[in-house]
Amino acid sequence: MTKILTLTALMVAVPAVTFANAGVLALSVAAPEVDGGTAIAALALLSGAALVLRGRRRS
Amino acid sequence: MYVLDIDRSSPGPSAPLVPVTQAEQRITELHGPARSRRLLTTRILGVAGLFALELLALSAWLDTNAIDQRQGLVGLIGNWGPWLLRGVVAYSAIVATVGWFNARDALERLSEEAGSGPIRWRLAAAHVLAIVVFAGLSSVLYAQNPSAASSNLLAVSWLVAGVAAIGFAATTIVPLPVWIGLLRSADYLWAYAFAGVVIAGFLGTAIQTLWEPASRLTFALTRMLLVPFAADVLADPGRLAVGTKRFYVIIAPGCSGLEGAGLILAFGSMWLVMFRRECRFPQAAALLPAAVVVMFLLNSVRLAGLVLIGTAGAKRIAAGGFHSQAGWILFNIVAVGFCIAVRRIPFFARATPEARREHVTNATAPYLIPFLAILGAGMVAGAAASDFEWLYPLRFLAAGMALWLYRRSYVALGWRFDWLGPAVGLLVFALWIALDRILNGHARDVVPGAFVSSSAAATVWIACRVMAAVVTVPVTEELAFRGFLMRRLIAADFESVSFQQFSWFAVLVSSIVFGVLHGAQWFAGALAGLAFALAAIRSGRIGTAVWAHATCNALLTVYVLAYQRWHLW
Repeated sequence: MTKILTLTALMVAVPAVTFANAGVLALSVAAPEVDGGTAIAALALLSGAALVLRGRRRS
Repeated sequence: MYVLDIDRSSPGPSAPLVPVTQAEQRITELHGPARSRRLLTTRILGVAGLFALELLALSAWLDTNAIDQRQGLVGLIGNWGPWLLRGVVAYSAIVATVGWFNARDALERLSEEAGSGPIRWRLAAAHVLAIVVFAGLSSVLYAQNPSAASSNLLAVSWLVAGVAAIGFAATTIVPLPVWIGLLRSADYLWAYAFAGVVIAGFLGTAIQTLWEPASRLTFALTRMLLVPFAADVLADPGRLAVGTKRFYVIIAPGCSGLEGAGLILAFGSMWLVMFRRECRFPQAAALLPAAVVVMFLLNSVRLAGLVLIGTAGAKRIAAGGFHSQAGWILFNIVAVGFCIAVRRIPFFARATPEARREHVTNATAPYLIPFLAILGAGMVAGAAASDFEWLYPLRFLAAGMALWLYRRSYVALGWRFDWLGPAVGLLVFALWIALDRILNGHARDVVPGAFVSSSAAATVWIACRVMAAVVTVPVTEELAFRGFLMRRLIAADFESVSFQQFSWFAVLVSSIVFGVLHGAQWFAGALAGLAFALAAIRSGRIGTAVWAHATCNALLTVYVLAYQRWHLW
């Protein structure tokens, strides 16, 4: 799980630097392809899916 | 005085007798490091939490736009401050997470030095003093426009006060030698992390040169995708506007597809590095550019979908829910597809001993799948909504189906009713309402439009909402946060961990994560998570936490409907 948590933290940290100034308006509202408002739910879903994929196995 | 050596690895019948002092030392060797490692980790997390709160307060208070036009050092701070701040946050995240992952042995060794060390209250006082000086200088620096010479002096003093505040706080509860030891034990991680942040920063700047060609390519792809589905396709290459007479979009740099491509590149690269032993190279590495290309192409599909939804008349859904959710949905699909391919397809994956075992079941799935079903259904429902989530019943159905699928896995868990659950639920409800009253005042919410337009639809929606709040949400969230996360933070074999096993680290982290997933109500959520966790620990059963959660949600439901406080839903 440590690796998945590490991955999640890095997924927040790296784009925060790389895409810091990427928000540009389209239409009358901002429409970036990876909107920040829904990021928490999306990253939680991804982290959870990764945890299940790598989940502990039992006989 | 002599006692029997307690080391289980020693041969039983002929176990040697050792002096009691040695035995005590042995006990410390056996049980001490884990506890003191936790203590050191808790202390480091405490420092990080303090910095995060102070940073949050400063971000809310200070606006670098106020000084970025100034001359000299103040102007430099205004121009580069936000970048520097993001760099520091990213650097800290990389060093802390990778360091924790790679240098746990050193952490155990060093933790004994810091674990028993006292908190240095004088340094804590010095931190408070430095923060007060920093705040005072900030109010002057950001409010006035003094001469260049005096403003430079002010800026230097401001920086010194800020750095001193950081230094004092960091050494208050973890001594400087331990920090140095931690950095040394991680070898050149500090340099790699620094290089990573600088490269990410330069990439961010360099990538801007790709915005325009990427936007043009996305423009052409979107137009091509629209032609078979819409008769009146409009395309203006000059403005990069594409759509129909009724609805069109301008492809700005933020919509060019580079964000998603960059995210999947970062995710895929990190996954391949972290789980390199499980991957078959070079085949697995070839998946990376494939994922990037797929993600870039899917952005055009997203834009075409946006236009078609808007053209069909649902402009508010297109611009409201779809644009913000679709990108993340597609990213998650590609990312999970990447993980499955790398892990499950033999061409890309090495066969691990675990994978070779037959008749195995996934212990994590019954605890997380129902919650993930709610998250996934919520994203889909959000994509089909504007300001009102009319597809909420999808969440209820998804959770219900997932719980039914894994129903046999839950039989052994303790579900018996006791009055502690409802009592804790009542307490959490009162706390939640009190915090809501303090933070959101007494204003009445606007009644969702769908309730007004159709009473039948409103009845179905409310029925599903109530059933979800009282049944599926408490069960799925308690399974995920108390059943899995809290116990998983104690041991890898989380199913063997009793609910009565207490760990502040596990309780706090699982409660904070639970709170963060409640969005704007994160603080109330974290306190609720704490209460539910303590209820489960007190009774030794997850059922108590579920009853508490269900009671709280049932009372909140009554409150929402009675007092029209729709924002609580």
